[in-house]
Amino acid sequence: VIRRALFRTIGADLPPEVVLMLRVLAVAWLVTGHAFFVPLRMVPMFELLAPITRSPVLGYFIFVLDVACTLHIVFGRSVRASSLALGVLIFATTLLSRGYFSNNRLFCACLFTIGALEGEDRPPILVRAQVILVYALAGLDKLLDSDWRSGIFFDSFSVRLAEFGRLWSPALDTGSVSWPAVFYADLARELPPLFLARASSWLTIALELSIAALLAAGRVRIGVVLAIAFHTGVVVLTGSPMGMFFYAGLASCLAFARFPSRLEIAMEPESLAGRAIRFFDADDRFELSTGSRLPASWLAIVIYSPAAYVVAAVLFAGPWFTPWAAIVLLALAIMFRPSRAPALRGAP
Amino acid sequence: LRTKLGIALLLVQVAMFVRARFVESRYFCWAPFHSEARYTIDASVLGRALRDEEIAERYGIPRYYWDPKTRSNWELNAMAHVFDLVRATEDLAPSDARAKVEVTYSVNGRPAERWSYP
Repeated sequence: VIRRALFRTIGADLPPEVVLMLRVLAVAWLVTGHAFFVPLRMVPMFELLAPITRSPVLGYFIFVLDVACTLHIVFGRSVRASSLALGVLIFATTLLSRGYFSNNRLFCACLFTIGALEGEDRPPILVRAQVILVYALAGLDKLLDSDWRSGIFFDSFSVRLAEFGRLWSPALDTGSVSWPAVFYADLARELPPLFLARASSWLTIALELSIAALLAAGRVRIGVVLAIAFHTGVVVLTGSPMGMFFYAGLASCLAFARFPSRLEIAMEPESLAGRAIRFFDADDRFELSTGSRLPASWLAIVIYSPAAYVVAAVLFAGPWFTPWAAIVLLALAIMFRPSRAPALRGAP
Repeated sequence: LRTKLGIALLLVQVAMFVRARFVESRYFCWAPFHSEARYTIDASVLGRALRDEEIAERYGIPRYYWDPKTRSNWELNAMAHVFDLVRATEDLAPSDARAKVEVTYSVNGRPAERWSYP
């Protein structure tokens, strides 16, 4: 029962890609500890909300609702309602506590809310628009900022990063030495002033705008590979997933995915590997049989298994987090070739 | 209705992005790492200087990036958010418990500036 609850993506009243995206996001939200975080000091965005923040039960209410909604999404119970409630809760907590504001949490709030608003039997256009908007506006904000264009921001940030060390991560190693940041700072010193900082700034701006443009133009494969490369670069340089940004960025790519309804695999169903595939295949996507059919590659089996994303979210979001592991994702994304089988839609 | 609500949420973000062109703050407009700033808050209530721990608790500021040697914190978005937080906290406090606050900060490695409340 738990296996089907955790790994099944069809049968809900949302597209399977959206269910998987929300589940991966909820797993990361839970395992990183974001689901348990309640701001201790509530200074609201608007004075009008101050009476609510004085309530002694507010913190408990936020905590219970946050954990309950997250667990419901993880175990596939009332995914639409739970996701909407969690998204609205994150927005509301931000309005009630200025200190709670962060772009990565609001990105999650948008994905939870907009994911819950998706139609049942159409591609997830709202989530896709949300993802495109985030990359486009983030790129434009940097493009319109003179300190980003000149490299002054990147120069100052990289010097400080090399001095301070890794930013926050679930590994709780904030401040430990970030070798890529130290290497970057050393390299920048050897080159003409601001040369590397300006190049890095423009590369960041170009990447963000390119991801938005490619995804909007339907060039999904290259757009997703660039998005993974972008997030991997940020994680390796800073040693940090930037709160939920890394997980939200990668999970949102699933909204552009197209999972085939059926994948034929030439394999003895009762072999050890066959039984393992059947165990994780809660959607019954894989057809195992011996014969002369063209076998699907192991990479395709992993990439088309929702269970792989749930397991990956646990591996990347726990205290065992290491930034270098992100490179594995990038390698998988580059090596992968999509299946041409028809997409999976609706109930089984 | 669901689609209309989704589109409305997307339009709010675009509106906030346009708004951000005219103000210092960067709320809900997708401007992570807009700037980086090192800052120190000094505050006193009724003439008594608050300790760094008291200041962090008073304003609910996370101390992941706190450097005890220089008594400085690190803001990775916009300094306006720190000023807004201090101002909103003090505005909500009873008038006889309000703090006098001075924030010394340096944005993107530039020379230090000061901001004060009230």
